[in-house]
Amino acid sequence: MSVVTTYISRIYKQFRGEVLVLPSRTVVLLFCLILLLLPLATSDGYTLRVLILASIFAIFAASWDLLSGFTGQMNFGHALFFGVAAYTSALININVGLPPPLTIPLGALAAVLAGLVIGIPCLRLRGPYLALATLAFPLILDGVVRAIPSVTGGELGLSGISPLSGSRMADYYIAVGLMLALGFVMWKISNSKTGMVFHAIREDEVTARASGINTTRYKLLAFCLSGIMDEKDSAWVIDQIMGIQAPEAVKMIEKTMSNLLDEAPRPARRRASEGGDQ
Amino acid sequence: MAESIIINGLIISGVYALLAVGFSLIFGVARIINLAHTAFYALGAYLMFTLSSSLGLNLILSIILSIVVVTIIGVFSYKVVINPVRQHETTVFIVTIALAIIIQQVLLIAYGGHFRGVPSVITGYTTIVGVKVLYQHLLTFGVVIIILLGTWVILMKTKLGVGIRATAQDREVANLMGINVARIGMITMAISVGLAAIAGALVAPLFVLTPSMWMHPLVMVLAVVVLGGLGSIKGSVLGALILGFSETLVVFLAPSGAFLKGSIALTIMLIVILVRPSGLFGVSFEEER
Repeated sequence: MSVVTTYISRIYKQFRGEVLVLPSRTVVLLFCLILLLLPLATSDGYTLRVLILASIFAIFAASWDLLSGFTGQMNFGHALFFGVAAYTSALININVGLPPPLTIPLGALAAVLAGLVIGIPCLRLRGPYLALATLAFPLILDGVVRAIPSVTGGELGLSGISPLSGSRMADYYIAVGLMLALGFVMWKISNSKTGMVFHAIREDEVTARASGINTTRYKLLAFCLSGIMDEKDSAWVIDQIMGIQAPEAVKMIEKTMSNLLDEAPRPARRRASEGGDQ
Repeated sequence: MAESIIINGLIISGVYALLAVGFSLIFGVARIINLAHTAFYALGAYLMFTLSSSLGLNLILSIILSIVVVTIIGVFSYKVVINPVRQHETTVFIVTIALAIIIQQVLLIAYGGHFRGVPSVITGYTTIVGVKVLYQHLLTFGVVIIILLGTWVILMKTKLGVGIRATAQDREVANLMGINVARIGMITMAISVGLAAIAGALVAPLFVLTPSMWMHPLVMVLAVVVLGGLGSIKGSVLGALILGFSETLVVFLAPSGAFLKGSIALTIMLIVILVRPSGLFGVSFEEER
């Protein structure tokens, strides 16, 4: 009995020394607890949905920060990875019939490949040229997606994707859990040797290019997982994809900074495509 | 078919050239990537619409008035929001995109999301080598040529132009030579926004006006400027011709070309900058030397 008590008190001491002494870490801990316990207080579908979206965009923004904020590489084409992963996993799901847990890693793989395809040629560009060249890729893909509606669903997007889980509560926990886990991983990365390398890269152009591609890989997985975070009506995933790939520079930046500005037009479009799907 | 491609290609290239030259100028002088540039173009078009259709002013007068008003708004926003953050590249991106979105939302509130049209400044058509050409097209194209030539003359032949070019080449040395760099920056912004407003007011009778009409031109202008080389006027005009015509060709000839026009143009841009990483006529800046 005393062994157990000693053990618990030692863990508590360590916890106090690591977390509670720093106000910032305490705040983060409170934030995590509130997010995880929130469904006890409310099971309102709308609130949960907003929080699911918020989690997805938090992953998206944090991962953009890992590339562009830490390494200083202005990547305007971040939404491309999101779009590639989401479309790949959705298309495999619809055409081959694999369940989402299997298609999500495949989508991630496709996004990694996209990162390589973009990264290798863009290694040669610097500063504003890099920013504008990376911006071109999602816009090119956007045109292609719209031009072949028989494969990609064109402007309406794809529908009929299998739901990730049965209930909204499960979706909420998957999204929030993923967001917290990936946030923790990214925080660890930024504190690790790799993170220091990233900071160093910001100062040094040549190394930055090389590492730029590698860092992308970390985050691709996050997008794919988030891109497909779906429930029964798959319409909003498509909304998401279309919204993100919409042919304009703005949206990319908005998405990466915040998705507040973009919230307004989405409900209308969702209603339209829901009506069309069912 | 061929004549439509040529006419439309020339008009679109001209508009892109006007926009890209202005964009390139302010980038060269102040190193500002002004993502709100085409928002001023949209604002110009809408003001022209308001003055001519709603207030019933003379079309020529409304064009001139809208250019003046948009230039004032542009210079004001440069002074108040862009110039203070000029040193921080990322902040400039965010500030200018925010400015563009504000303009779009104001247009949306003021005019609603409907498509708007403006009547032609002059109606009728003439026949050139057996091809029917609208006077409006001729007028637009003529004005584009005159404005571009005028800009070139200002840049190459006047003292102001020397100041602008010197500031673009090396800001510090220009400052040491007694050029008021801050004032040059402001004048360049005025010219730049003025060119955007001219483009907007000119195409208002030809294109459809929507609050989001600035987005596609913005992407194309970025592509044009990168293709031609950032900060190069000659490159901007050539890039505008290449991308304007490729866009028109794709729209007319390719299946579902309207969706692909941006993709093809951007692919051309990518190929060019992958072969020549600083664009066709890229100039090297002092920071990069």
